[in-house]
Parts: sequence; C-alpha cells; structure tokens
Amino acid sequence: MTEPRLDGLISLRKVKGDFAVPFNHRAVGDNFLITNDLGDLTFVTPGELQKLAYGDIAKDEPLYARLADKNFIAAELDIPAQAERWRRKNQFLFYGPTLHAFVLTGRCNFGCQYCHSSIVGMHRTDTDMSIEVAERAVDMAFQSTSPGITIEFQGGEPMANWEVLQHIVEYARQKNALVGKSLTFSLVSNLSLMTEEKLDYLLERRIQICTSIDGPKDLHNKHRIYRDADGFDTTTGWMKRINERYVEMGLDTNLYRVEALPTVTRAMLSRPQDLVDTYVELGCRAIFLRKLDPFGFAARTAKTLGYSMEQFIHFYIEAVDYIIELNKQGVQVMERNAAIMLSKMIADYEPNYLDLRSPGGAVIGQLGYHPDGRIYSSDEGRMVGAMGDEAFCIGTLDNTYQELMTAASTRALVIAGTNLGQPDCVSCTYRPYCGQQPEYNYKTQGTIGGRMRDSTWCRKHKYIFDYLAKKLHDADADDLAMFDRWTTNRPQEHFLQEAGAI
Amino acid sequence: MSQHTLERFDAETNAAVLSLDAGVYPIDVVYGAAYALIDRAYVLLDKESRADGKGSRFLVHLRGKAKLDEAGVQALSGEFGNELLSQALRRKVVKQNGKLIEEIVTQAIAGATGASLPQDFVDDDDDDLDFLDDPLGIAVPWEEKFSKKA
Repeated sequence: MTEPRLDGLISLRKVKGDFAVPFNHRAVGDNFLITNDLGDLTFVTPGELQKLAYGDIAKDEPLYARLADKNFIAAELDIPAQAERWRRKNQFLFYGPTLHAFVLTGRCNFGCQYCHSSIVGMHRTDTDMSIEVAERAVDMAFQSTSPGITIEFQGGEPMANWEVLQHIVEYARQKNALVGKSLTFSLVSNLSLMTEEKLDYLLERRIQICTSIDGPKDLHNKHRIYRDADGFDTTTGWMKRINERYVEMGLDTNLYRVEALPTVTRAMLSRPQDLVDTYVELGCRAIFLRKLDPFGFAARTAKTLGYSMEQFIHFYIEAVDYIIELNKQGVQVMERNAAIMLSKMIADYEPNYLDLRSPGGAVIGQLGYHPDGRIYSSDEGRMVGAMGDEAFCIGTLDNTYQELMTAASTRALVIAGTNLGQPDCVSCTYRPYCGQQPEYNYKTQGTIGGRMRDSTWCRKHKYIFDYLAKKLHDADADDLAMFDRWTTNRPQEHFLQEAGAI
Repeated sequence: MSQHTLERFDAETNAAVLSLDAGVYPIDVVYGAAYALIDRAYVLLDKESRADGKGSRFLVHLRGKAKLDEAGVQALSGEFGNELLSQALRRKVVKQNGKLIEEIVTQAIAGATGASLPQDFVDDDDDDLDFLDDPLGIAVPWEEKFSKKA
C-alpha cells in the first residue's frame, strides 16, 4: 500500500495559518492521523487535511463540528477550559518525586543472565542498607512535595534484608501518621525467600508485591538461574499462594493479583504466544513487554541475549495481536505499554508513567537510594552507577532535599527530558503522548540529550504508537470497547496506607 | 571544505584526526559532539588557522580505547558528524522554544521544591486561606486610616 503524501496535496501559498491550531500529522493507512499540543487526535482523509490546512471548511459542514470537537479549529477553542485540562494532565509539574526506589541490598540468590542491577553473592552483607541509612532515606522521601509517595523495595533481592524492609515500613507509617501523605509500598522480589510469616506481614501492611516471570518454565529457568530449587516453580508457587490470600481477604480479583514482568530475551522472540499463555495461566491480567535494557549485566550479555529493535517490535506486535485475539475470546488480559499509550491517546488520562512524560521523571519524578546513602536520578541512573559511572548520582543523604531538587545536574536532566527541546520530538505527531529518558540516551548515545533520529528508544516507541494508531484507525465497536477496558483507571486503593495508621 | 573530514588514520598508534571548518559549527556544538565519543576514544580538540589565512579549522584528535580499524574510524567519524548536526539543531530548537521550555522546567523544579502547589491541594473551605480577610487592616489606605475626621 502506498502512503498518502503531502507534496502535491498542500500548497504552502494556500495555507491559512490561523484557522487550525498547531498540529502534527502522520500517514496511517490511506488517511492521516493528526494530533495537537493538547493531546487530541483524529483521523482525516487527504482531502479533509487539505481543507483544514486551507481553512476551507464551512461552519455547517459535519467536518467542522468534528474537528472543533477535537480542538483543531482555533476559533472554537475554549481557552480557559483547555488551560484547566492542560494543568490536570501535567499535574506532575506541580510536585516532586512520587517514586522512591530503595535498594535494600546488592545481594541476590538468583543469577539472572541479564540482571539489571549488577548484583553480588548472598554472603556480601556489606552491601545491605543499614537502619540508619534507611531512616534517613525515608526522611528524604517524605520531604517530597508530592501528596503521594511510593516506596519501592528493590535489590538485589530486597527480601534478603528483611529486618530493614520491615523497619522502613514501620518507620514510614509512623512518619505518615503525622504527615498524612498517600503512602504506598511496593516489593519487587523473586519470592524465593518468602515464608508464610513474611507473607502475613506483607499482606497485613498492604505492601504490593511484584515479581518477574520470563515466559514458560524452560525459558524462565534458562535465564533466571536459581541453584536452590526450580526457580519457575518457586516463584509461580508463591504467586498462586498470594493470589489465594487476596481472595481470602475478599479483594476484587480483577484488580488485586501479583504483578509480574517479563524481560524479553533473544530466546523468547520466537515464542510470544507461549509467553502470553504462561501469564494467562498464572492468572495475570497484564503483561508489560520489556525490552532488554542497556544497563547492568544486560549491557555485557547483549551479544548472547540481545536483538535488534526491529526484532523486538516484530515480537511485540505478534504478542499484542495474540492478546487482542484472546480478548475477543473473552480472556481479560492486556499489554501495559499499549494501555499506557492508549490512556494518553484516547482516554485523555495522564498515568504519570515516568518514562513517557515530558519532562521525564529523572529526579523530579523519582529518586533511587543506594544502600550506602548515595542518591540517583532514578533506578536506571543507579544502574549506570553500578557500572562505575556516577553521572547520575545527584547527591547523598547528607544533602538537603532542596539541594537535590535545585542541583545543576537536576536542571540539566529536566531540560534534556523535555520533548520541546528535541529536534525530532518537537515536530513528532506522538509528542503529546511520549517522553524520553536521559539515562537511556546517555548509555546508548553518549549524551543525556541523545539523538532521537537514530535512537532505539524513539524507534521502539514510534513503532508501538504507529501500531496502536493503526489499530485505532481500523477499530470496530468491539475493539474500542476492549481499548476502553484497557484504559479504565481503577486505583488499587487497598494498597494505600490508612491515614493516621501506626 | 566539507563539514568534517577524516584527515588521517594511523593504525599503529590507533589514532585518527578529524578536521572541520571552524565557521560551520559553534564551539559549544563541537565540544558536545566530541564529548559523545569519549566512551570509545580519548579526545583532544585543537584549532589552527588555514594556510591561506582565510579562516580556521578545528582538529579533533582521537585515540581509540579499543583497537580501531579503517571501518571503525569511519564509523566514529560518521557518528561525530551526526552528533554535530544533532547538537546544532538542538541548540536551534531550544532557542526557538526557549521561553516555553524555561517555563516548563521552572515550574517542574518549583513544584518539586515546594515553591508552588496545585490548586487541587488548596482546601477551599479553609477559612485561613480567605485572602479577602484583613484583620490587621493592611489593605486599608493610609489616608483612610489616619486622616482626621471631618
């Protein structure tokens, strides 16, 4: 199929500059997708695009009403209402970091071939976060101007430093009794150190539990090596147990399940359906298809586990096509990248996903706390640090919160993560929905600004946006109902710590 | 002169020299593009006047951290050229959108430091926040407050 072209369609001499609001366009099928700075989108035929550019649409034409409804006609723009809408969607600009990733230890009992966090053996207790550092890190997190904060326990395997994990939870709850923020905890664990007693504590303290499942058993065990037992059975056994406990607690099973993430490796590329089936069998309602990233051991094992972006996208499309097919058969499962992007595109909702917003989430959206008290721009910044490059270490717990937020490096990262400063992004049709990560740019292209034209970050997101735009363009009522389900925001309020609880 | 040229490559010393017309790119752009190579090469920048006295050129001395071959040097040179263009274009874009970027970044950092709060978090029912109240009479004009009654 030949894509429609603008040359020959639009004569610059005839363009009426003040008729339409500024918009960008991209060919989708036989038509064009157009988006404006407010995040509205619609599809137009080449003829309709010409009429919009020339300001040649009478007020009584249905096209006029359709474009006015989507805020593409300047004269019809309700500026106060749109300003309010912009403020709602950019609310993250008005407060500080929400996500606080606490690296409780560098120790881990799994030997994952692609490990993102550059782990050490279980005997290295010297890499554990101490009680003192933990309390000071909680103090720092609570200074965020955000009305809600999430403390995420990471590692290594964070459950290896269980006493400190518990201490952080109790200390933060005590602080919150005075401060009254919306406080949540999240544990990222391989679950191998779980016991019934520990699970009792995690459930009683409403700590969200997340884990990793890398596809069917053979693939999972190939990449996530665990010497003490069968890694897949261990992790999935606890997933089932935790899900049972959620049921026993009377929680809505559509909303409360153990979250799991796969890391896509080369061996997984040919088995997208096996991966999806594994997640469905485990009762997961969402899969977050994550590409291998350039941090930690993953950078060193890229030759054996890595693949091109085109291969990943091929895999991604096969997997999501299959997920859509399952939805049509009544199976409720979704892909997270797609859900986040569609939320922005069609639900007018900003999920504050830190990698896809502008400015990005470095420092002002998240902080990464190293066990020794160093503070990084993000978890990815911390991983760069683990590789011996302290470019994203913005300070330590000896700094004040104000010093961290106003540091020159913070300002540089915020500017670098702003789409309006990027040559390609500035004119991209997907700019209202997209963002970039300075840490990724730095690791893959040597500068925090990066070059989007030959960036794999840009290529990945543009491919997925194109795929979703085509799906929206071709969608029937059932497809739209499915996307509506994927983008319905249902907060997991059970995980919110009770106000005033100690 | 082309925008940038591979002047020489010495496989024995694992070193290469690129040159570019000093009039084409601002020095900040050259710094930025050279910086993007430092994970793969040791980089030294120099500048020299042209033999004919008309203008000058930058010299970029590279010594590979790993062993370089002709193709590797060409790739490095090509990447340097791309980075020059990218940095130059970004400067232009940032200048064009400078006011907007500055406002967004200032708001983001002000929001993070507590210099502003979204309206949603201001309780409309809180009497303390009624700025029309003036218990100390600050808003009363001086003339009104102290003028002698007629």
